[in-house]
Amino acid sequence: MRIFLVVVQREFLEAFRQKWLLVTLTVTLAIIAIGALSLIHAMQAFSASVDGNRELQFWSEVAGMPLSVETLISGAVVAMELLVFNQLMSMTAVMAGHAGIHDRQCGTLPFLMLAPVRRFQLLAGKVVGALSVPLVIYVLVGGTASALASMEPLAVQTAGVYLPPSGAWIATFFVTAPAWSLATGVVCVLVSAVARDVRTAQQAAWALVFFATFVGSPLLVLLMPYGAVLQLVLAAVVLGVALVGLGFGSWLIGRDLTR
Amino acid sequence: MTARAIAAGLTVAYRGRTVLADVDLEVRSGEVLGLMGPNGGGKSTLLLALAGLIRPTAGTVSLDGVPAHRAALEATGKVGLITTVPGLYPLLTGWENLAFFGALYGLDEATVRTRVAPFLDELGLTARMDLPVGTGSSGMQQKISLARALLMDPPLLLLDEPTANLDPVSADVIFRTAREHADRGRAVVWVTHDLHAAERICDRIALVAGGIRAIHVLEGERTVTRPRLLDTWRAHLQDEA
Repeated sequence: MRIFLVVVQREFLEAFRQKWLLVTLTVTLAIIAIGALSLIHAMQAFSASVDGNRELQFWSEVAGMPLSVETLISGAVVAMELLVFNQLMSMTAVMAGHAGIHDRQCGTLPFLMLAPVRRFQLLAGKVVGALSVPLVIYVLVGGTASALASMEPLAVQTAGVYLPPSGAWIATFFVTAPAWSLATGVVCVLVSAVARDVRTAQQAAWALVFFATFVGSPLLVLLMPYGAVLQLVLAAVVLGVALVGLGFGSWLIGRDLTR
Repeated sequence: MTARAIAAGLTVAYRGRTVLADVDLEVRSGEVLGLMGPNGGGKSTLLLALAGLIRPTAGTVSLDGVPAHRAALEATGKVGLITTVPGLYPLLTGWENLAFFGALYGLDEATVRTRVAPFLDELGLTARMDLPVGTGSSGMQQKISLARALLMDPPLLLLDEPTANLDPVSADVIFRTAREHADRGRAVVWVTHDLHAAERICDRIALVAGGIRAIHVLEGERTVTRPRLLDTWRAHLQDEA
């Protein structure tokens, strides 16, 4: 456990010193949050005014489909949560995709292999470390956005299951989304560990990012109406996959350094 | 002198190419063993094999009786290593790098500082240790890497061209440190292309070219000079041709 925490701490410290990474992640989540909250707030105001309804009618005709305040608000809430989960998974995948090859690039791998560090501890520490910074920003920005959205009465009325304090949101936000990100991170670290160069590692990680996040985030959002228990079951399944991946990865990086 | 590391029939081959064939070598406590040879001759491979970081294709490598590839986990801190790449995290400071690797061996930061501070001070590095190592020169990184190698006072110290990027004053400190380490009953393996360095520091020099071609013993007043080493080298490599 001690070694695992030492590795996590180092990964966190290195990630925390990449200022542009922090800025990019925070700004991206903030843009998502501000966009969605603005739309929700605007629809809330529209619903209270006669002009607002006339405006909506006009835009419905333009769009060729019925647009209602309720539809737009629930759409904004679902899109916000989907994109917030997507960002956590994507950033974790990108950082994990670099974490494995980082040691090969820096030349630190021989020194890690010489130390009394089990491969499993090293790999698990790298994945959790890769998740740590995105997770903090995700909780602060994404969590705040969701909390603010839950203060809009119409948002709660139309899409309450996708917002706090619903059990499904709590389970998804704090358990399933991080678990899915962890599993994605494990796969990306494995790819990174066996890649011979940064370009291959990044290309492979991006291919995985597409499937993991564009399958993962819609799946989480789609299952939210079915309750917290299903989310926790899904989290348990992906964590199991992550553990198997870590075991396989431990064997992979235990091979000699010349391969 | 007892043998710290023993390679017996060591063969390393990968991707269809044999890099080392049937190497029998003892690294003894109290000595500095030099490894010299042509580029691509297997010196660095032999060093990594002695560290237990490369699994032999055939033969064995043992450190104090323990198979080398298990030594890292079973024999904490038995091996100190410098490679041609310093192997440090560029965004972390010198102290943070040393603290991290020290923590892997169960050392707290205060103990790490106590152990390496005098050495770093002698090298004139103390003032730079709070800066990210990525902002430092390759020579500075090499010195920090050596401090890491000495952290656990390892019985076996493996050095791959440790003075390659260093100024003469710093190189002198490295020579002295390696000599003192050996004189305290440890074993040092020193890979170098520099005949002058080999003559200065080594007790024996092994010529490595796909295997061990010759071992020179330097003793007394170092009367085995560069011309003799070069002659031996040429003779063996011409035999190959």
